[in-house]
Amino acid sequence: MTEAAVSKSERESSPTEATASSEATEAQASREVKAPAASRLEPVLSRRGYAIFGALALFSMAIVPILNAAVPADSALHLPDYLVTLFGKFFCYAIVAIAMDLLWGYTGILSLGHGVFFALGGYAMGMYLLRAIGDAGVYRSNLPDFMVFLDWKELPWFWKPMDDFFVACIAVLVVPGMLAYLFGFFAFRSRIRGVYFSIITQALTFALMLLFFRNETGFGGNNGLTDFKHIYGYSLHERSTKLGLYVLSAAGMFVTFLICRFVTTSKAGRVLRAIRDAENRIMFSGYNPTSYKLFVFTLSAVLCGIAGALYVPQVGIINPSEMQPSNSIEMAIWVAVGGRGSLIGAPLGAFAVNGAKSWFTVALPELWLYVLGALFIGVTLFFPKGIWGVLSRSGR
Amino acid sequence: MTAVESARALRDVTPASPEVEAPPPEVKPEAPKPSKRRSIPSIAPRRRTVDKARYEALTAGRKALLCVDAVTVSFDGFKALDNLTLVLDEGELRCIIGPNGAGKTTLQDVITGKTKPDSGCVFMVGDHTDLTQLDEHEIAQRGICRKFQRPTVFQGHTVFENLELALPGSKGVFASLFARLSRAERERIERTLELIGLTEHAHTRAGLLSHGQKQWLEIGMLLAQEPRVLLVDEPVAGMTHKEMERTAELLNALAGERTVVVVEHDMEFVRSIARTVTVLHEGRVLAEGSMDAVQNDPKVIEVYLGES
Amino acid sequence: MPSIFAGILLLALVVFAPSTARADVPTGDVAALVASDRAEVERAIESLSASHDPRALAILSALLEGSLRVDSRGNAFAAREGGALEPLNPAAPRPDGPVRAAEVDNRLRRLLEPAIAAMRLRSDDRDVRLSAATELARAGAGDLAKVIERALAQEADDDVREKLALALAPVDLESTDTARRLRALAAIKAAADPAFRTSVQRLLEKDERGEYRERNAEVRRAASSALSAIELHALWFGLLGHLFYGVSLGSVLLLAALGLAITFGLMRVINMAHGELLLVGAYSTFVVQQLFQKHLPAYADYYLLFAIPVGFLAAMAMGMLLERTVLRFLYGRPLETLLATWGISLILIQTVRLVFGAQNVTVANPSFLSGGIELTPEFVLTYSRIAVIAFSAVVVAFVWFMLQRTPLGLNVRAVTQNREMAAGMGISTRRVDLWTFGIGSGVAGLGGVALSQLGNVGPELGQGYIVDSFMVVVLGGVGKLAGTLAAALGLGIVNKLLEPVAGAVLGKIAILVFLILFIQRRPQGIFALKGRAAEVS
Ligand SMILES: Nc1ncnc2c1ncn2[C@@H]1O[C@H](COP(=O)(O)OP(=O)(O)OP(=O)(O)O)[C@@H](O)[C@H]1O
Ligand SMILES: [Mg+2]
Repeated sequence: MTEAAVSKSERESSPTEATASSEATEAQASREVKAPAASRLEPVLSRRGYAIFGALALFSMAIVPILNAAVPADSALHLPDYLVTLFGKFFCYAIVAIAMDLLWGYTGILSLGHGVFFALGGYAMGMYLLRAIGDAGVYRSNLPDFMVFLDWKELPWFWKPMDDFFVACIAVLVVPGMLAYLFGFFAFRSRIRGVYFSIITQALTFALMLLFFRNETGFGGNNGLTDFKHIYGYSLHERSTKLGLYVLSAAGMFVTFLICRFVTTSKAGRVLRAIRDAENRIMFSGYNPTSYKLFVFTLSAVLCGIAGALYVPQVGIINPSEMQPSNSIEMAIWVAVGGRGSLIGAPLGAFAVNGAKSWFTVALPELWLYVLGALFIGVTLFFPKGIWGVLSRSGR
Repeated sequence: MTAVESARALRDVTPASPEVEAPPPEVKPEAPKPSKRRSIPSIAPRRRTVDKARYEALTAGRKALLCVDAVTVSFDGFKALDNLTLVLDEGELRCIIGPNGAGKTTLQDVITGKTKPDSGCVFMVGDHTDLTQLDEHEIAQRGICRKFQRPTVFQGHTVFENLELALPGSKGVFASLFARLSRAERERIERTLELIGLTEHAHTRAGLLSHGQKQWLEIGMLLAQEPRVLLVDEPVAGMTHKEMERTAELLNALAGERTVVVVEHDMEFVRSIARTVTVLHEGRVLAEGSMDAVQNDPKVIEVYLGES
Repeated sequence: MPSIFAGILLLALVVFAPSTARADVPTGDVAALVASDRAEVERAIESLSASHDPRALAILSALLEGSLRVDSRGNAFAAREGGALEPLNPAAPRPDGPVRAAEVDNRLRRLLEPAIAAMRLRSDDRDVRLSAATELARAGAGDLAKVIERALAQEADDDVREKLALALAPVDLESTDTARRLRALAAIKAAADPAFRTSVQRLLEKDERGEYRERNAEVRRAASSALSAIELHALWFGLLGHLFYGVSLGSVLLLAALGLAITFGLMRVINMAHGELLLVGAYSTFVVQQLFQKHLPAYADYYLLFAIPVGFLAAMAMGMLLERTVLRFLYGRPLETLLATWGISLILIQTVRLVFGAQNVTVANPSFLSGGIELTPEFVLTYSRIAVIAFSAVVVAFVWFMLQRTPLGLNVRAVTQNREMAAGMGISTRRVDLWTFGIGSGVAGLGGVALSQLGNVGPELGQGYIVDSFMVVVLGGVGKLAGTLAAALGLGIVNKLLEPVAGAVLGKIAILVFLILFIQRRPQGIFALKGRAAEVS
């Protein structure tokens, strides 16, 4: 995968680029020749964009699995299983990063509580996975182990529907979405903006973390949900299942990218950026910023929920520490490192930061926090446009 | 093409601004007075209607369009607007002058919903809704537009996109997600571009424009919005003499079609466009009438013109 | 025999010391206290204990403590800390000849305790009797039941009687005499002492056959009214206790948030490393403590007094360093500031881990801060908490003074109100920024010093306070010192009142939810973006 190639093609379709003028006029001229009755002002992706997008998708969803499963283990090209799962995780993070970028990079809303939506999606999936264990748990009971341990006799009501995979999938979308909608409704309605919004979202994740830490809340307390065995009948320990989950995560990221790209290139996307730049003006132009903000906030929460749901079966555990405020802030740094407001930088950042994290926490664990801290400081001070900003500038 | 011609041209291609259909005047018992300024927008839709008697009294015998009725705004006890009543006629060009701190900007804030008054209401003829109960964007959708004292455009968008966003039409989230630009709309944007002299810059980012160009872009956005009432706060501040003339021409051309309210300190400019002048002082109307009448009013001379 | 001594005493009073109201305690008895013959000692104790003289009491008390010294002439002294001798006989201010220490063993103690108690209960001074009775009531009658019983029979003062009855209550409750049980219950009711809750409850219970353990209905009535008195009392003291803990938590929050009120409230710098500035203060305290223990062990207790300026200066220096190297470049970009300072906090935490270890370190209370005032057994006003409350009051006063009454404060306020104008008037805004941030950080350091006295000091100390601190500042209204004060105390008290009702975690969540709702209702307290200011941004 050559990043330079990505950089070039995406530059053309990137909405925030100042270079647009000549190319856009051309594009417009060509559109005027065809003169359709009505058209989108911006395509979701340029033709070249689609080509590169397709190549990347093919590479990650076909080549990688082949390198893992079909190439013999002693070959230099063989991709070990643990790397596949690692990349699967990274794709989940990348989904989160794209969702954050939609919110922060385009709308100017920095949420420091997106870890909650990720974790809620994860918990919804985790509940299904735990129920899927059946009576094969440690206590051989029909109830999940932690309930037996707490001496509960009956499944709480909110656990009952989670036996069904499809209900769980709906919960993955609906629970984070509902929370985001409600929270956003109150917050945006009161015109809470900027850092104030960041701080109260941080309080939100903190509060929910405390709530989930309690045993009585009913989600396994401290230990969370773990020891999963099957998903939809497939064993989680099988390589094929792992590969399947990896491919799903990758697909999830590419679809997320397209969805967000669709939003940002639509008129709504332009309204979002207008809200970021001059909220007053957009209000006096007759747009209701509250409903737009609510829309992106909810959308990005739902995407995070999906990411969480894909993440949990791959790592095999979900617990309240996913809701630590530090986790949510780290998500922001993925986006900042990758570069805001392009949708391409964000997943790059997620891969780069988490790749570095995986390496450091094994090789030089004491240094990792220094590196992370330095990333926070360095990116804000010296590379406000992030990796993508540097790449697209040097690619010019 | 002069500004006047182009303004006419613009008027010709666009159908007259969509009239808000007048609902049958309904008589409702006076709702309890709303609390202070924007404390919290309540969840339930607030559609307080205007007292019918006041409505009749203010609009009787004239082609009124926008009424500001007994509005009082106080900031920490200081009354920026003091029981102010003002009626604007359809197609009128009204200049509002007054010394610094007279409340001119505050009046615009009240009309556009940015500041909620302590008491009083604002309404448009043909509609009994009290505008002070609405949010800014709802008021804007009813055709009241404003130009800020500083030019505010969307710096990160191209000039073309700025105008696109200003176009009237459905402004909900889902409508704009799937919005497509029709040929008529595109033409309308191009015409506006021509009018404000920014055709070559259509695809330049607005942030890169000069101050004067931004002023024009903002005016262009207001025109694209097809307002019924246009509120303009100190439009010629920072403009060259030539630009000022062009602006005067443009505003004159717009009047008749739309109601235009201009707040301005520059007396020469006011004289060049004014038909009716309202003098505000300490939140109240001090005098109203033609430029000459106002200028010879001893009260006005004392508080305002006498100063300079 | 006592009467003879009393007579001698009287005589002595008249003959030897007409100017003072009292005679000397017989020096012979005193000398006998250090005799090697045990019988003689016991006899001397007996004779002294018959005395009504407060000095005899002092002598016996000193004996019980083991601090009694007697010179060759039979003059008594009490050995005080550092070797000084306090004369117990004013006639002999200085010891004459060699001084001997009186020995005391357990047998003598058993003799002494009731004797002293009896003497005190017999004292002419009502306050002495009352304090003796109160002590007995707290300790329970134990072996002294007889002494107390006798004293009770002679006592006229109601307060003292009540205490005595209370001291006897544990014995009385078991008694078969209905009158004594009633007396005990009346005393318990008057004292509302929660220590008796279970024993009173027992009276109201039924045994296996479904009959009341207490057969007498009148006693049961008395018991139930005593029980409700206890309950009411416990409720009040519980409330009072929560209030105290609330105020103390509030002052901790205040200390944690005050620095933030300056850096965020005045300068609009979102400093996520604020918690780590607390950490700097707390670890400075630890370091100062270690240095004192190592180099000045004699003055180890006073380390805290040095830790206060050291903590302030260390955090201030850290803050100024941050301002110079990072924050200065991020003014006006709050979200970036937030992220950068978060990075700083990660680095600081990790540094603390590497230098001091990941485990908590112990910062001991100096001896003058350990212990507390015991209002009831379950409600102790610990000195450390009281000190933190007082300290936070002092810090608030300091910050207020600094902002309102010093040239720096004037400049700070000028710059925060209108930066351009202030710059135009010749104020160096960069210097003011630097110092404002420095002082805000220094105040955070002071908070850290205080926190070290209340709980564990570990690398994560600061993290726990960051959300709370922001909440306090936001709730109080940005840039308002009085608001910060009210918000911190309010949050602290509400938190502690909610805790027993909802549990610590749910209480905390309830508060967060409340805060979010509060912001809903009163955004204008939080957002200075009002009217004109909003137009520009
Ligand atoms: N948000 C606010 N808070 C407090 N006072 C305000 C606020 N907005 C306006 N004022 C005060 O109300 C008065 C009227 O202000 P306004 O801006 O309406 O005057 P103006 O006529 O537009 O003045 P200028 O000619 O200088 O633009 C002024 O004294 C101003 O200080
Ligand atoms: Mg004004």
